[in-house]
Amino acid sequence: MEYVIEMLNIRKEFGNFVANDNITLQLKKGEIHALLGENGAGKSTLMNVLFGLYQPEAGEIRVKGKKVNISNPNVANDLGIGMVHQHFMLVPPFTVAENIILGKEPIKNTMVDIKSAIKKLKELSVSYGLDIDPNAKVSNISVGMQQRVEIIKTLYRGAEILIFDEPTAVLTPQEIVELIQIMKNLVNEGKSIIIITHKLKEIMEVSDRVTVIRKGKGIKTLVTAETNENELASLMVGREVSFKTDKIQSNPTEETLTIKNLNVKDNRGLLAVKNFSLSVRAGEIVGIAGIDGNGQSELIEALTGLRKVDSGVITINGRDTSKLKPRKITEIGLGHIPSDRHKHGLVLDFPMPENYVLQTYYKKPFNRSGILNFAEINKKAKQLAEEFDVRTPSEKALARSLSGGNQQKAIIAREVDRNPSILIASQPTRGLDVGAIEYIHHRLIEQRDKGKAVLLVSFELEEIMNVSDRIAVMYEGNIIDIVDPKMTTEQELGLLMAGKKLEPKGESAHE
Amino acid sequence: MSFYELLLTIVPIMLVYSAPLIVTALGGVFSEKSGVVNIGLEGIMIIGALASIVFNLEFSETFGNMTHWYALIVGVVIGGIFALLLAVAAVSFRADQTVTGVALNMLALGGAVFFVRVLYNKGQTDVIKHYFSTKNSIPFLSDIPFIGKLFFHEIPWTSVIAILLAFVSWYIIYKTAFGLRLRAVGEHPMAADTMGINVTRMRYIAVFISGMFGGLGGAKQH
Amino acid sequence: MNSTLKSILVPIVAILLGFLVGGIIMILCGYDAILGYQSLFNGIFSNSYFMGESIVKITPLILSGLAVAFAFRTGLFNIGVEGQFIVGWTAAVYVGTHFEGLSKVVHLPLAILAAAVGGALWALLPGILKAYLRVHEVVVTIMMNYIALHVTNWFIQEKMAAGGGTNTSERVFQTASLSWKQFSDWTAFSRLHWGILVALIAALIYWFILEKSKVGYELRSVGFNHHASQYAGMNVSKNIILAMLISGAFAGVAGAMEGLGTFQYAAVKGGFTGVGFTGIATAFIGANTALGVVLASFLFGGLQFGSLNMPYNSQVPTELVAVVIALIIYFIASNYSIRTLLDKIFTKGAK
Repeated sequence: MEYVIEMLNIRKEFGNFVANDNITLQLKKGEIHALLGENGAGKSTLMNVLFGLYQPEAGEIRVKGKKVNISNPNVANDLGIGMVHQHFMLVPPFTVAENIILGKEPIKNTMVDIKSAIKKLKELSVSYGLDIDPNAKVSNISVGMQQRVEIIKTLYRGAEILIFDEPTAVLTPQEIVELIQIMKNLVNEGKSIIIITHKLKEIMEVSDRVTVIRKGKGIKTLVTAETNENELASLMVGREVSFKTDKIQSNPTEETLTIKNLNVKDNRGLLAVKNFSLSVRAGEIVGIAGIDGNGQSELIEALTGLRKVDSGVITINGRDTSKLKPRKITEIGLGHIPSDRHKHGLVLDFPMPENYVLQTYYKKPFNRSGILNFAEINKKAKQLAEEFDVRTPSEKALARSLSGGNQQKAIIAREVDRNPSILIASQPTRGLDVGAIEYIHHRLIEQRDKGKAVLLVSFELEEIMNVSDRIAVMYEGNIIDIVDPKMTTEQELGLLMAGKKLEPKGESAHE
Repeated sequence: MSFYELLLTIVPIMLVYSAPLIVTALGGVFSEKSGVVNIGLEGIMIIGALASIVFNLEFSETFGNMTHWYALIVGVVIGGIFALLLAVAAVSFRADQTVTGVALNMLALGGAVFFVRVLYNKGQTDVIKHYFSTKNSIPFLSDIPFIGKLFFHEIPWTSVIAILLAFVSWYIIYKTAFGLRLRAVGEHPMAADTMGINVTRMRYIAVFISGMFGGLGGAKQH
Repeated sequence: MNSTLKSILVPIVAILLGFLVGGIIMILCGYDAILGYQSLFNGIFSNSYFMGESIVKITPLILSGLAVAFAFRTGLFNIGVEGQFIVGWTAAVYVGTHFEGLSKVVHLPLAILAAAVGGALWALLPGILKAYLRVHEVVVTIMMNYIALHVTNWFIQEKMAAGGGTNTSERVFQTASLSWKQFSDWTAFSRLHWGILVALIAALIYWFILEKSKVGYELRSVGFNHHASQYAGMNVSKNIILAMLISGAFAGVAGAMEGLGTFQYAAVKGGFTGVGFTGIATAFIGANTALGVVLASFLFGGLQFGSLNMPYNSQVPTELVAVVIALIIYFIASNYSIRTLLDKIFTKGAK
């Protein structure tokens, strides 16, 4: 069998930390090979070694059987290796064409020859079925098209081997379908693909073979058709993983949060939340499913007092909070785990103790007539860190120095500790690994079992299905339907999210 | 005095005074586009001016009537070299660009007076003997009615150069591959890096160009 | 190597490097570098007059440094300290030259308070523009500096000048003066005044507000991350304005040091004094901490005054000190290189 890429016994160290410990990865010509592992398992490090961004301490790389030394990305490019980065490497004010030719510009009379470049791009775009507009500014095009631009960038440089780094993380379900088709096209044209991911479903759907790595070590390479999600998951995590979160039947009581005919405008002044009504009862978790940009963030901002309510009523614990300021709403009994923990959840340059009291610093015992009592603050921090298993380099470490999972645990600790009647969790597990996800789901369910109301907003269907007691699907600012997770499938949810209301009796609507 | 006559007195003077500003600002554009804020241009101008004046005074015997042209070149080169101090700190050592720029300004101001005292034992230099006094009328253009007399009649070479440089800079930044890379480095250095562009090198070049412009701006001021 | 030790060592290494390069420049220019630094040292410490005058120089620098540092810590870049300083100076002298017959315990605090209010008000507009319209404070405060310079010049000329074509105000009344005869006697008639005590108290207040108080917690939080602060229910706009007001008040009090202590009058100025701009440097070198700013002010103030002695004893032009100060700032800005250097030295030593 012919291998186009062979990474043999690769070892990469950062100081005392071994990121890659004798990992071997072999890519066949024309295959889609998945690289599976949790966050921090060493996937990106391995690919950065292949792309010439890092130099390995030991091991060798062969391209088409020939030993090579990839000292920088230019060498990788020349060897036909191209990378589609997770965080797109595009210059926003440049046009699509300018982005693609950057660094390898066609020149005519000392000037960049943009016309001939566009001609070549159109050819590439047609032959691989990648729809792009070469003259559009990158800042104005959709995420899906940005990704296609990234792909064409590598093809323009003559890439034969494409590395996709977590390519579906930013895409809508529809765009994911398109991407999978594109990848299959590429392979049919003779390209070979490595896809880095921790999403099992995609691996099953798209890949030919899969290599699992865990904690820097290569665990196993399998043929996708001969394995299943459960096996892959336990290989990845190193123990049995249950996909179904265990929980007892919910026992909802009175309404804690009631939203009636809510209208909220977005930053452009257009209605993002339209005549929205929903209630969340004590002792239940209501999940809001939907594709990003259907009014979820505006809804949350309105509920938490961060955005002006245009009209409608929000009631928490029987009090109308629609015109109150965030602090007042918090005091009435709302807890909030924001979707962007770096921007909204933590002050990254504050030490952890000061982050734990971000909502309560002005109250006793932390504040006495304007003077902060740091002994009390540190005591609280210590208690929460122990209770919620937040691991920090030191007690007073800056929030910045914590891992994503620990940062999120700290936020949950802070919010849950205030014992709010309604907890709003927005994308609470984004970017976290399996262990942290399990922990956070467990905590949300625990809140429910204590008789609190929980509102979960997530773009991850699996999460919504596993955690919620009821699912409200949001489409264009309104609830298109409320379904019971036990009585529905991900396919049905996907259709609802795309705005297709189900026929009664479960007959699926036509595409 | 009619309004046109008023313009006739104001515009040529405006052209003379704007020349150093145009050139220095162009220098600012180059480094800004590459993602380095060059607060130190003020200092670079001072150093450029100092270098060219000292050269002018010291070598006026040797080079005679061409002295001021050579002095201009000296100002340009010294300005570029001085600007590299900014590049070393801000690009290689990840220093705060604003603070480094301010430090360069202080360094230039103090250093210039210091060296003048060292060289001439007083706070000011003598008046230079060779300078850009000749006014030139640009052929053809100055014959255009109305605006010809206003903009192209008897203006110093330095102003002509400054305005020409503005066009040249536009061409370099927006039409050439170098310009495309320069702007990419400023807008999204990581992206440029993955495209095989050496970000550090581009920024050094940009800051050096910026310094040359600043030095030219300073040298022109005398 | 531990990080506290490193954060202390970095400025020290930067300062030594600054002097080292300054020394090399002196040698290259044909001076005796040892003699040069000796005369600089003597210019600060050789007699009580020099020491008194050095402290006079240091006093307003501490306050302007605190003003800049306070803004930095709360996420703002107040380049307008110079203007707020000039306004504070003028306000202090205006109160100091009026209200004859007040007792000192009322008049002096009132004059200092006027300076604080003047400085704070001058910072109010940039604060409001930043808080409500997101106008960048750097541009606005730079413009406010020019406005301060010319408006106070007009005010001093038209409303405060002693008459007879002079450009200076009357001297402030004794009841509003910071000077003390004992100081003058002890230091061979230097202008040393109580202001240094005011400045040190201000440093304590600075530390207390930022590190101990609830208000300071909010201000720092908004400065680091106004999104998260807003999510936590803080009023971001109010905190931005408050931060500018406090910063401006420190700057205003710096002006009072000159108006009530060093000069005891206000005069029409031909240009900026530089006190506000040096404050940027001291805040930066002092890492925006109270103690750091005080130490950096002692260094810079001392150097600036001591440099005046250099031409007399060693023929070295005073501007050498300006060069050394600029170099120190340059090296501290490049602290990344010093940190790597320290790491290398210490890991080698450990092995």
